[in-house]
Amino acid sequence: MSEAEPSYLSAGDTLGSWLLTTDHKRIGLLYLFSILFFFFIAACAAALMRLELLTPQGDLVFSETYNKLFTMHGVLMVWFFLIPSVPSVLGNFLVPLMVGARDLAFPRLNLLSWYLFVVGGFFVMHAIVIGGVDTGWTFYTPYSSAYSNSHVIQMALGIFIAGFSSILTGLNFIITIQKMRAPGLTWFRLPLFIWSMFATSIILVLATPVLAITLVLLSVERIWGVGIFDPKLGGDPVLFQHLFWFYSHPAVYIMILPGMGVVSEIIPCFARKKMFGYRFVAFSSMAIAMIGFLVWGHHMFVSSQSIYAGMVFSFLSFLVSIPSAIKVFNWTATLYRGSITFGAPMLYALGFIGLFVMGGMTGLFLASVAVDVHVHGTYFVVAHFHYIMVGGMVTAFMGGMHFWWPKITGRLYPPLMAQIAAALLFLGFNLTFFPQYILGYLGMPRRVHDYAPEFQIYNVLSTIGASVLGLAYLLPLIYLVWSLRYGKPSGANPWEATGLEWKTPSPPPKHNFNETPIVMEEAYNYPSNKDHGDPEHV
Amino acid sequence: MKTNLQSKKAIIIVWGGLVLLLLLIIASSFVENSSVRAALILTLPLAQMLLVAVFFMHLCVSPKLYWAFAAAGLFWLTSLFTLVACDYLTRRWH
Amino acid sequence: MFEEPSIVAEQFEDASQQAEASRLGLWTFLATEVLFFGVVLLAYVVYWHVYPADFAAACKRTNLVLGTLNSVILVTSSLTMALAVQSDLARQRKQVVILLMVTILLGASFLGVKVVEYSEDITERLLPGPNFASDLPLHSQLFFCLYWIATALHGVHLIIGLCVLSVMVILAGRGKLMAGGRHTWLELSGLYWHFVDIVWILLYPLLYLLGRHL
Repeated sequence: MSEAEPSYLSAGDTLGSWLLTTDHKRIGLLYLFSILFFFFIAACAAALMRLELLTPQGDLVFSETYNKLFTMHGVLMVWFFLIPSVPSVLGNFLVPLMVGARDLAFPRLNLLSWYLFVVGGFFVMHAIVIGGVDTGWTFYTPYSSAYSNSHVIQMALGIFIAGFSSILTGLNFIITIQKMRAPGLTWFRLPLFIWSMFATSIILVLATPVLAITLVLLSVERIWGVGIFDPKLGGDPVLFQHLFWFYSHPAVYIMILPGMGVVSEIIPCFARKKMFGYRFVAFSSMAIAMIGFLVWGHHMFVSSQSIYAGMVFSFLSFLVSIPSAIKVFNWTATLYRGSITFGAPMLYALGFIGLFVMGGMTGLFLASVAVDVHVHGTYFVVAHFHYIMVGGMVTAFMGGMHFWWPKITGRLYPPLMAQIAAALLFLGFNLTFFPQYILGYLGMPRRVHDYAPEFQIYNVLSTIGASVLGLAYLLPLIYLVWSLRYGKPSGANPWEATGLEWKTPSPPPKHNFNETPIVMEEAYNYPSNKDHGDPEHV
Repeated sequence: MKTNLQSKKAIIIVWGGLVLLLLLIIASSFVENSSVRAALILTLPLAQMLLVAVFFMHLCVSPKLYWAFAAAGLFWLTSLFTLVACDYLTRRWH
Repeated sequence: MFEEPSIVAEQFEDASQQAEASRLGLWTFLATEVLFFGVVLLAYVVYWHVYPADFAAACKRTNLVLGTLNSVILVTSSLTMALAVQSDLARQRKQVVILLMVTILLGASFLGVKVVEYSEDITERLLPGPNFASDLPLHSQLFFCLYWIATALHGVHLIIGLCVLSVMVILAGRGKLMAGGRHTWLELSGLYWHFVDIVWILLYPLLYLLGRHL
């Protein structure tokens, strides 16, 4: 094992070497720090909201403030935490390693993407600090274009700039995966994480421009007082919704596909079995990306969109659940008769499967027009998407961070603490969001800070759950930072996982590999029914 | 990838085709029948677009992968148009 | 097949991988632009469907002569651009410089014509808003909203293209394109420029001709 090259962490320790780096691994870490910052702010907004909702009266904040809080929470969580989380942190770190390359195709574009992200975030934070926006993260017209007195344009500008960050990241991944795979690494030998990133990148690249231009049109309308969504001119506010959701629905697949990719890496490793139905899972990622572009109208069933369009979108929305279900079946089949151990990454992955199934199923309820008419705009929808986004995506992100932490830092964290944190997350999450399904079904609307007294008990449960959830986020922060100094050195492959990223030292040297690896094995080449503790058999 | 070795003559011929199409498009606006007129004005530019993409942008000498990348944006734009049309064509307006 | 001398960045295995990655990268970027402009086109088509008469009336008020002139200018600039790329392959440095300069000149003329056209439009009160031309129906303002947005976006892309071409002309002058291993840069600039041409090819008939019966 050559110790000649220092790890990427010690190759240069000035501020400049970090802020001007083109090393994909360092850029991944830069993103990590940034998204954690935004997550924290957005979580504070959520905390205030949940505190307000402890009582039926609106007594903690004014309603205008409450509107600004949920807008801030939505904007920051969607664009500045969820969308970049796995792609820009884990994706940036792992994609070149997993394909056997020295870096991404365009390292300087990668650095630019981080700066765009930061600049976009600055504009959004500035908009928040000088008074915020009260339109909701969905910016529906004509309220946002003509009537809101809040800082819509600044926030839109921030999101617009951050959108280019997404596009550049996606572009980089597509070209890297297409063109820079190591010799012998054919498409069907790739880790499924790479398939997920490829599918995600297609969405990043093709959907985000639509958001960009929609925000431009919105801003033009706000600045000049005339525009194409303006009913006074005969414009159609529903057109805004078509354009907005054409991006924002695929955006939720941007958020979840990478998480599915993480789960597809963890499950075979901790079940010591190759992925059942590899090709099905790979093609499902692509299918989710493609069909996901065709379903946006299910956000608009009650918007005055035509009922026939509603039926078409409803049908397509049922269709898009199929590839997701295929993945769940394949994960389950991989677990069946595997030699399962319950390390923290595996607990997160299992949690993901359960919570994603619940969130996904309620998505099907929402896809039926008749049910949606009843629960649209209620907490049922809020619960549904939090099951997917938090129960799914955040859980997967945590799982991924725990799985690859040794690779990124070269350290191990205390395993029992990590398992406790994972369990706490699962419990806290369910306590927070399951009552919200009931609330929505019973009719409590979303985005309001006062409500009928009969809803209080569920709101109280939800707020208690949120406190537990907060603890579950705090705990990993503590022991992961602790591990940087005091954790045991991990070695190159502590989990005895397959994949090129585990064949290089932990943390990797700056150029990833001393020589370009040559791949001769299928993916997930775990020996079946052998002792997983015996390294000779890996 | 085989690099483009088009002759200058070929490039000028393509340009000639583009100008010819432009004249045809303008000529279409003299057509009486409004549906035919609209059809011509909307489809002839697509031919111009193809000439530029295939010849000037070297798709003709590029591997199929490039055609896929070139078509991808158009494919999804088509899905946007189609499903939005699904709404507007079936909604009673004013 | 000829050898293209290149400076290969360290993440790539060889020059050909680098060139292919760059080309595909640019095509990916162009795909994003298709979606970007496509939205404006969508809005246009939707409102044309909903208000055909008002849109036709509005269309008749655009300046057909200037629009057509711009079409000829831009398509000719595509010609000179394509010739420039071909000349660089043939290592005809001087021709490259001349052709690029003509392309820039044509591009700038396009902008000049646009400025004239815009001032005329403003004088004729074709800016949507309270001062909009009173002889046009209400929904014509939607046409003009999209006219201004689409042509402005196109103009911005054209200006960016001119900046890129200016850099290319300087590099060409110093013999740093084909001979310096940077032919791909010129090729990519060409792809971008042709795309800007394609956008105008699609905008012109929609904005200037569709509602006209000559």
